[in-house]
Amino acid sequence: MIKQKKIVGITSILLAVIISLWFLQRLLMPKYMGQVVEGALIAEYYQETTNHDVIFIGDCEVYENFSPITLWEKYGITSYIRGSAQQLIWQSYYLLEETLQYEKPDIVVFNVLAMQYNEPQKEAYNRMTLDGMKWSLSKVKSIQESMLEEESFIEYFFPLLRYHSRWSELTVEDWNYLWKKDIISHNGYYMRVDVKASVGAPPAKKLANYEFGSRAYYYLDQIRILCEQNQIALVLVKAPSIYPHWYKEWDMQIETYAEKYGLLYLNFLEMFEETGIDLSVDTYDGGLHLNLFGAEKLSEYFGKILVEEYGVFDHRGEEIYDTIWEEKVSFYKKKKEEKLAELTENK
Amino acid sequence: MKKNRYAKLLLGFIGIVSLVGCSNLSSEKKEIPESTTVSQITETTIFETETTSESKIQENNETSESMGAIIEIETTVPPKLLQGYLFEVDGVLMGMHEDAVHVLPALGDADNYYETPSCAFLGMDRQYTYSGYMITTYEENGREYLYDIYFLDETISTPEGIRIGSKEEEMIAAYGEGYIEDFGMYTYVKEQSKLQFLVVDGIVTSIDYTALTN
Repeated sequence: MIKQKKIVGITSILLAVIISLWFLQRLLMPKYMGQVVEGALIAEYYQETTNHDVIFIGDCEVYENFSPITLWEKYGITSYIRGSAQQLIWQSYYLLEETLQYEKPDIVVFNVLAMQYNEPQKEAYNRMTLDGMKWSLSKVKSIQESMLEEESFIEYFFPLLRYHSRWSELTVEDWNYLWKKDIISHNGYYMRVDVKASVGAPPAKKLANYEFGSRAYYYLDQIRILCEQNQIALVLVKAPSIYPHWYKEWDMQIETYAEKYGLLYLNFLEMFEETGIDLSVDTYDGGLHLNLFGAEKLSEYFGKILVEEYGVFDHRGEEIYDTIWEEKVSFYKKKKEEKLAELTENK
Repeated sequence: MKKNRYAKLLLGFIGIVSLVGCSNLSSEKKEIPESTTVSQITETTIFETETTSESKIQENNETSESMGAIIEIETTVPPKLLQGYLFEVDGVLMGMHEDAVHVLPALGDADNYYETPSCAFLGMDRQYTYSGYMITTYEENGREYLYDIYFLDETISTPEGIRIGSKEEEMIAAYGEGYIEDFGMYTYVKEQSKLQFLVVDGIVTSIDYTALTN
């Protein structure tokens, strides 16, 4: 009897400790619901209930420049952007590998700016991509590839070890979003409606070596092979962002690669006339990223290519998609109106 | 009685875990990759301005201040650092990680001013272009520091007399053999700075001072 009580007591203590630590971890981890929302993008994907024709992978040049809602409204294309801030190419690969555990799209679109990085860059960016992923072998491998010298795997496994000192910096946001977060993206698209015209970019520095790194190429190969194995068409794009500088030497390498493997490569920096994008009105930050109006223009143009070149099916009229996408469109329009109203108020 | 003992044990355990965790890890002095640290990523802009350098610095501080607890503001101006490789123009001597307040106001209005996303420091990088060179700054604790000086043409030179168009042997004579060479990029490191010369066909074609971050 006494032994039983002891076992119950110890079990209760262990359970209470685990629950307390879990609660603390939840409280102390960044919520990405305030000024920086990019860290919340990756996790939102898991709330999707239907498949997608097109999956975008890449950095801010995908999640700020393409609008899945426009692709749906104009062409009935279902799409999702698995983008995150400064997403490195191996992170894109493992995100794609993980995505294929959930669904098999017809097309994968990869933004090639990430080819410039051959090494991990910054923990904060790593966190914004990796913390939001559900645990899987893909996540483990992505963490191992992404970690900087000063990082350790255990801190990804138990984020409390990394974020414990945030206790003194907790804000209302941490409590408000302790249990439930807002949806901040539109199928991975981060909406901005403000306008800041572009007046050019800083002079581009000369590089000693314009050749993309071997690791970057390795993962581009891995993305291509993964797509081939799953009969998925891979499309390479360079978004029409004028900074960071996209060197012509880089462009030529991607062109050569695309030609070698029969891939479509679209450099939208050379297609302002065709897309109708005007960086005096279609960007919110002087040409780094498009605003909603620019993203809609780009998506309309890109959607036409997807339909004409790949025959992507129009799902409009299919009950399973109509209901869900009606809600998405409605949410999109509501947010657009709210943001525009907010903008008018602030003027 | 026993229940009380279990409760005490539990509280003690959680307390110890928290304290041990804090004392061990806070000593690592790592930057916490919290959401607020990267707020500037979403607010990046490229634009020109006619604002003077001095007023821009003040604006920067106000921006940081408006973020309340997000960014800790350093209100006192640190003394001039002047470490590593130094650059001098118009009588203004500067080194990497120098507080911009010691440099930018003295240089007068920039020809062009840009704001771009910072990868190295996560905050906002600011580029000021002047005749012949470009200065990039990073933001930390609400203050602006020198991160990079890049030569745009041959009209300016390093204090050691090397300019774009100088010969490779002149560069080595001025800076010595203590360089690392990779694809024609000669890198010299001193304290928290590096100085890089890109040499093509024996001629210096690019000169760049950069702050070392670790």
